[in-house]
Amino acid sequence: MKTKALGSWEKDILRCIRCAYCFVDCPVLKELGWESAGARSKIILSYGLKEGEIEPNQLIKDRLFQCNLCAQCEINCPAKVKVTSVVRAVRRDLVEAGHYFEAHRMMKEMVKKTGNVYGEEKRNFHYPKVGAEFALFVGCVGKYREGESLKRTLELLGEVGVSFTTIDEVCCGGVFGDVGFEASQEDAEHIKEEIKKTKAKKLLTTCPMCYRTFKEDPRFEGLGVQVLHITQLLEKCDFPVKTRRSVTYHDPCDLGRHSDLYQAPRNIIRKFVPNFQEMVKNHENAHCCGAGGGVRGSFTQLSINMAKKRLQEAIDTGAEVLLTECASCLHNFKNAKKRKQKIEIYNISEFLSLLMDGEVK
Amino acid sequence: MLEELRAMVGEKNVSDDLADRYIYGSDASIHQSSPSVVVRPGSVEEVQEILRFANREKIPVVPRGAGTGESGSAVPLDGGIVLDLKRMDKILEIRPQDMFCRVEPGVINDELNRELKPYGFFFPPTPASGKVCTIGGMIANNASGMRALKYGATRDAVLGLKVVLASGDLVRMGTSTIIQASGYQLERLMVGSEGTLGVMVEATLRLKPLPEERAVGRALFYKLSQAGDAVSKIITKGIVPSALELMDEVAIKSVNKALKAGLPEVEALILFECDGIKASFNHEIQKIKKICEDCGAFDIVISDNPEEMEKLWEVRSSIFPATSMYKEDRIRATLAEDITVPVSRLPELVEGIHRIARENGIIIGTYGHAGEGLIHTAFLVNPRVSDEWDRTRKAVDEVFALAHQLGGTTSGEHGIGISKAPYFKKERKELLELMRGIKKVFDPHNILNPHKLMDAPEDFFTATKLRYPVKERR
Repeated sequence: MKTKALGSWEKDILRCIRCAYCFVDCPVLKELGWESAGARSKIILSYGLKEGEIEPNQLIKDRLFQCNLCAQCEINCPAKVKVTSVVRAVRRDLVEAGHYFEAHRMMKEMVKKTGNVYGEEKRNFHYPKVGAEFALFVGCVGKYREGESLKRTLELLGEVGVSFTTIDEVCCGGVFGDVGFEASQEDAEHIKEEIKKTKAKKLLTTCPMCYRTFKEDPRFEGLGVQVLHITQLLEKCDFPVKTRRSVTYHDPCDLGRHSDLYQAPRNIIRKFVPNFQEMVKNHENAHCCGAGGGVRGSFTQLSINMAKKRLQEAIDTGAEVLLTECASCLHNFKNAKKRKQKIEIYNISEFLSLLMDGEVK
Repeated sequence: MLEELRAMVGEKNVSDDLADRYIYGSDASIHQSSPSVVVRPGSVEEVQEILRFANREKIPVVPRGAGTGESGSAVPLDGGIVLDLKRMDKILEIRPQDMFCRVEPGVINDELNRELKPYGFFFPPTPASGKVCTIGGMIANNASGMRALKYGATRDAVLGLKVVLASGDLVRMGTSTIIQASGYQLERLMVGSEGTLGVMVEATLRLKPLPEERAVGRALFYKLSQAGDAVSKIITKGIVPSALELMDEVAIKSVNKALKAGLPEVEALILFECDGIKASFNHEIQKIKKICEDCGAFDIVISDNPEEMEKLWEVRSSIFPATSMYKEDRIRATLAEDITVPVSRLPELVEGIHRIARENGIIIGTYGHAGEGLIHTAFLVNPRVSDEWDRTRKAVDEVFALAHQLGGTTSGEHGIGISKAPYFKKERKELLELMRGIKKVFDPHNILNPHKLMDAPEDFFTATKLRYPVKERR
């Protein structure tokens, strides 16, 4: 197989000393057991493909896509190998050579047809406001899979007096770079134009993946607005409520390890949760929920199994409520939760809105 | 072969897929050589069945832990079966009253210590890879780590073993007692045997009481020779610190790059640790401090604050991978790695290695368990350039010759594998036939990790494909 994208990461591939420190807490390795599923092996397989020592087959393809890009390996790697960048690059080369997952190709097609990764008919989700301070971008998962939660988030924004306006959203395309496809320049231009029309100076995102995409993806260079995740905004607000219940928090990978936003969500939680309990694995060592990196689409059971484990870690704290601030994590946890498990799962903003309306205690 | 193996351990625990053969054909060494099949047994009975089958069919079997070895011990030279033992990861019993625990081979070192902590005990060997490496791999290579000076190596902690022989028979070696004088101590023979004599499926390990407290110190030296002198003097004074580590300038710079550690980039630093009861180790710490000062150390930091101590140690435990960050076009090739000399010869060894590096025009970083006379060598190589490898190989030859000349040994704690075998064979020349005889008794058909130790290839560089794209001549 010819490789091109991997060429930019040769130094990282060779710098990997193969010490296997990245095996520690690699969620995919923990699930699958085979060394070939671990982070180090993704570097070795990438090397093999790049040097022509191996050619792709089904398992090589599976192993290279069985990664949430959660970046725990990068935290553990003392040689600072950019493992997730190498994985993204090898996926790009695999897809270029025709080794893609149908679920990922379909997402691409769906975005082209409908503007969202699920191929669903555009939802009526329009809260226009002239002269708003923030243009709001909510992302596909929130809008099409966690709509109730998202509605609550928007109500909270209203209640705390945030002036925002929605835009005519199409998928930000962040997921495509993760699964080896090229994201649409046309869609990026559409989003930029929509934001420009609002005349807002700031872009508020509810989804950590969209947040990262607007901050890092070269397609959004020159966006001309300050990009904020909702936790950065809410940490500056005061809330006239307190919950009686014990609460724990899950760090979404895109917010924590990838964006270094560990404190903002905790600062919000501290304002209304007197009884907060960290999970054993937290901050940069928080285990992944299993949703990201295209794994939910192509290896659903693997993704759910990871979510089950992380959920159990939340339950083990004794908390009654698990909070996060990511529609993807939220969605995966809800899918993983068994009926007999009593823990309740919300986004922070959703829970706050319910609390303020007296619908939870 | 596949059908039989699948019937023994279940379909999902056998793979002959290229992905797995490629991955299980490498470890943290420079070598790459694939097995024909990877099998992941989950019980003693399954291991027995696999070995019975392999012995009958004369198929090579290479046991494997976490694949963190730096010399290629777990890299199969003759194809065959790689036996991944990580599924056998249960701690079977912890008996603080008898000062031992029983574990399966796939238990991870740090996880064992986490479980032992509430009992007030610990398993002393502390390899830098402790968070990933398995007990089985540690026994097979007689790992030790930075606390061996006071607490000994893995061999000192192995009381007993259950071993599946090549025939598939299960035998028990050693005891569950603290001492024994009951004939040949075959459990000790298994330690460091690198999978050539049997497959260890259970270990009875001696535990030590967790020291109540500890303190860590760091001393900086402008000159490497001053640091070497300090190490020698500490040992001569009869002080037994729980760790005494040395880092040279290359190691310091690498860690600065990897961890943004902000260390002054001097020629050497020493890390020392004393543990036990505070009143007694404080006295030792002060004595070490005084010796360091007398030898010209500056900026001596001592702490018993857990967070600060962790930070001081983090610098040391990160060197192995961090040395790959020393210079843009260099990577670290695991060569020589753990030569060990009598402690008094340490300054000569370190200075000699630096001279060899200069003479051959290459970069070698040195660091290691100075209190044990062990020096890790970080060969920093541009892996694409073949004449750089030529110079590196020459330097490796010279480093081993120096270590032997100083009365030292080829490997202190990582094992022989492939890359150190030629030097091991030189060092133990008169014992090789005896070793072959022992191997024949245990493994008459030579199926267990064949062509390792005394039977390993003469040239490590051509023994396998390298894991680097060596292509160009400068």
